[in-house]
Amino acid sequence: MALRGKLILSGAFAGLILATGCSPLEDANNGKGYAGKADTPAFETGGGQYTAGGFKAGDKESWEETLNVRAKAQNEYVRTGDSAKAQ
Amino acid sequence: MARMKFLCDAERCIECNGCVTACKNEHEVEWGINRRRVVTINDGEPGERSISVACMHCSDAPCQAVCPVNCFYKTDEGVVLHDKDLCIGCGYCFYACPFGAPQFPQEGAFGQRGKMDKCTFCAGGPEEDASEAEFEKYGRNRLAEGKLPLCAEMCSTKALLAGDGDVVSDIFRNRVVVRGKGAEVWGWSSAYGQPAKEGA
Repeated sequence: MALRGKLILSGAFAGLILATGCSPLEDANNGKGYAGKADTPAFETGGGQYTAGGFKAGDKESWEETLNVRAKAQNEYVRTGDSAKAQ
Repeated sequence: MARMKFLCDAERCIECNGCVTACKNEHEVEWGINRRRVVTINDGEPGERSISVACMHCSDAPCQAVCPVNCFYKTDEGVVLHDKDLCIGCGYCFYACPFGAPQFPQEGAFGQRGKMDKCTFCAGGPEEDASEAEFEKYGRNRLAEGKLPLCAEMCSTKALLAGDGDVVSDIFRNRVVVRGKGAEVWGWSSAYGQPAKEGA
């Protein structure tokens, strides 16, 4: 009787393990997307002591302009003042 | 603002690995992790080409789609970032990524993986901007400082461009017109999809 009980218990345990292991992964955030901590937008804090470009913290437009100026500066035709090639 | 994008011009990349070094140094990336790397095709043969590869911050990021704990998010600028506190190091993102961008530190014995690490477009992560915690987990937040990713900004041949997708593609278009060849951009259609055709 004791042996039978042990067999039933171990069978139930194995079944439980199998059911848990084979079930699909649950969506960690119930399908609502990102589940982590909120991030502050890059333009909000002003960037600390190494900030470049003189944009003001929280001013999205000036921040975007700062980044655009830097992005355009990657064009060497503009950097070298070669207006014939810069378009 | 449009989306932030990387563009690597294979006609210009000279495989100097300056971008790789800059990234490692700027973010103090640990040994064994390469957020950016240079891949050379047909090495040593005529017509060899090199490209600098990192997370491309895809429009429809497959890593974000497959993550079982939803630790990925996309900023307003289109930068794909993740919360390391949530990551379980399962490696699904690595299998999904067409660029092999996600990296995993080997923290223990038997190939045990640590939390995923990848290029952040120098935009930090979900910690207070410019804080010690942000630097430790994700590296410098250059975007918050009004700067672009260092790999692109210090690229000596300007093969690697980063920034607003419209600005970057304008620079590349200008370049292709001047040199008259090399209009193919590696990885763009995989990362950002095909451009919409007029009248389609």
